[in-house]
Amino acid sequence: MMVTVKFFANFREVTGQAQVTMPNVSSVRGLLDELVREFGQRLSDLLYDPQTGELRDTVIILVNGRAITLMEGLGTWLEDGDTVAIFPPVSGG
Amino acid sequence: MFGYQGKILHVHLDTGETRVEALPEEIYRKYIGGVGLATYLIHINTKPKIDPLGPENVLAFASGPLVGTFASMGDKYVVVAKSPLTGFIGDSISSSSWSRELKRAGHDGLVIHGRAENPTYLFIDDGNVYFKEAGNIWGEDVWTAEEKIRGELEDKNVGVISIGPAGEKLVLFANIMSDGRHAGRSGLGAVMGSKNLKAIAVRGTGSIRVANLRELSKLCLGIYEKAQGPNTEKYRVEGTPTNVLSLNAHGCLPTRNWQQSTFESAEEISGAHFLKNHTVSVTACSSCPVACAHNCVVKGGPYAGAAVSLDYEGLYAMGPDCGVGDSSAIIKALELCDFYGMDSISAGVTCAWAMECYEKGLLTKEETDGLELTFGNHEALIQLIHKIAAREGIGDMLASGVKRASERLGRGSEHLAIHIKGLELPGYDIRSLKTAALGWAVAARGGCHNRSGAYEPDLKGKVDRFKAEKGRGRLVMESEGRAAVLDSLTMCKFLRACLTDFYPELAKLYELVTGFGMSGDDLRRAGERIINLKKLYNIREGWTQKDDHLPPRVMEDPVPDGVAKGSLVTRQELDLLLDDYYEAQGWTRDGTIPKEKLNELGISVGE
Ligand code: SF4
Repeated sequence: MMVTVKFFANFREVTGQAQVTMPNVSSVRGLLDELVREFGQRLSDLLYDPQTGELRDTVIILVNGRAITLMEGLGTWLEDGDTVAIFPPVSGG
Repeated sequence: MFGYQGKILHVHLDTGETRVEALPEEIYRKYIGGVGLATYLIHINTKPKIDPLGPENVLAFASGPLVGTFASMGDKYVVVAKSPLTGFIGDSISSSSWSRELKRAGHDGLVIHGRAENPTYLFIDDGNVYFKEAGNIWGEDVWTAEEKIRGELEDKNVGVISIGPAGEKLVLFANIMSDGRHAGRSGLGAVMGSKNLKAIAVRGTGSIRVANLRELSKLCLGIYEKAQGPNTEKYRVEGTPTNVLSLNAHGCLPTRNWQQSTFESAEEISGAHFLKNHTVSVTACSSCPVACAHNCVVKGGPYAGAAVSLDYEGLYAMGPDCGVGDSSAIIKALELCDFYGMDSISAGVTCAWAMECYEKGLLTKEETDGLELTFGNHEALIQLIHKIAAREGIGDMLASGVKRASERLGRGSEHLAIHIKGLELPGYDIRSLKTAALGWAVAARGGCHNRSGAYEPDLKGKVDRFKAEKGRGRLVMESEGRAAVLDSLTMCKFLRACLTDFYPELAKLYELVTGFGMSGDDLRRAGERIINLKKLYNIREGWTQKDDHLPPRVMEDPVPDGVAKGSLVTRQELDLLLDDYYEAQGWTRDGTIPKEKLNELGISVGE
């Protein structure tokens, strides 16, 4: 089982990677735990609000183009071949 | 008065007459300033159904109550007139010290009437207005014009707004520029050109008083602090070009005249790419605490030396939409738009349409004056921009915008024209952003991302962006209201993320500046009133429900690639969304404003 993760903007800057593949992760929460283990505290700070421990609202996560907020949030299940994209919200130009 | 000067300056270019009008306090309370005030001014100073490029059209400029005060987070001016591109309301906003100077000269607004016989520029020097001969700057680009005017007036701090050669040639999407920023959309530079008015210089030395400086400072410092925090980080670090990769990943990056929604060269034109290879400085608009303007330069190759302040929308239009994946060529194309003084979104989308027409055989090489107008051919794109600005050869047809150009060409090219109400669309593929699709369809000035932030719920995952359903009407209405309030106070939209509680916080700010009691709910109501006032203007100019439309491609050609593959907005979906929106607004089923609604909002200009 393999999931592709794409990082954008500040997430790319902090991880130093545009794209990674992660084996054996079954949910978005599990994936983020693995990513934090790999890329450290700075990624964690970017993802979570230290006070509430919840995902910041400046983080957008899509699984195959669909926002996790419309699925099961962090509990969204992942399947082999899924693509997860992580970025800050888009705002006007 | 506090925050306001209480006066509007009227200048008649044909007779040389000037007069100062004192506005009743009630008008300020109702319409706030900026876009609300300027819309009010065109309502009462023009007759219906006039020619937008005729002398009867007026240009109304207005600043907002925050401008020039401690609470100004980006000194902005708004300009409103009947748009020559859409035939409906044209309103545009830009940052410039000009707006502060105008207010310090004693005026909250300026209305330009008539048409000068010869090229003219105005110099407003506190209470005096001088009509100056502009023959020697006619034909100049805006940078040169600004410099020459400041030289002639021997004051390098005088505020100047001006048009470039495109405005003089009546390119229907010409803009008005100042300090390198644009009042970009809906062709108001052509209105200025039609009046033979090259520029307006202002020097103001008066003061602007606020009602409660101590409390205001406290409130503002809190906002300033947030403006340096994580909420605006994306603007400060990569700037809006950061959207390229996000939208590409969403399958919402319109490419090759919206034939695709992802761009294979997105990485080569990403925010990070520009930051690394082109950005030489990041600067701020007048009085802004954020600083998001990424000044980019081409360092080598055929376009070496080209420079522009880069923004996502222009980048989309000249980049992916024209199939151009060369960052240096994009900078060059955008620099030329600035040089000539024209809206890069409209210019890019119109060029992309011409490219598709050429590739599909709807335009022959003879008709393109020998240009090989294929997607990605940036040399040809650059030639085309020169031709548009000069209205030369094929450029003359394109200078009228994509709606008119496609009507003139026919041959089925109307299907390829990406516009709403005649205004070319910004860079979000709305086939998979259904709230935004509604927002764009109903926006008073046409296809626009700045008069509502309707893409936000879609892209933040607050709603299912692939689905049209009831409830979106209210979201669009609320988003339009918030935008109208920011555009009337004149506060940059990029600061909205720095507010904890939008209406109560802004109402407080307003109250501390003006001394007028204003609750959060009153301010929300004012936003609604302003949206209705704009709509009322469009109705006056002949709006019918068919004008709340989407481009044929958005409704008939499904997205062929990326994660949004298969998406489009069907007629049925659009009808459902429109019904929902009109209902949320309290309008009739066919989208007009009932008399009771106008009474309820206290709007009486139409009588
Ligand atoms: S945030 Fe950016 S666009 Fe807005 S006023 Fe500041 S510098 Fe200008």
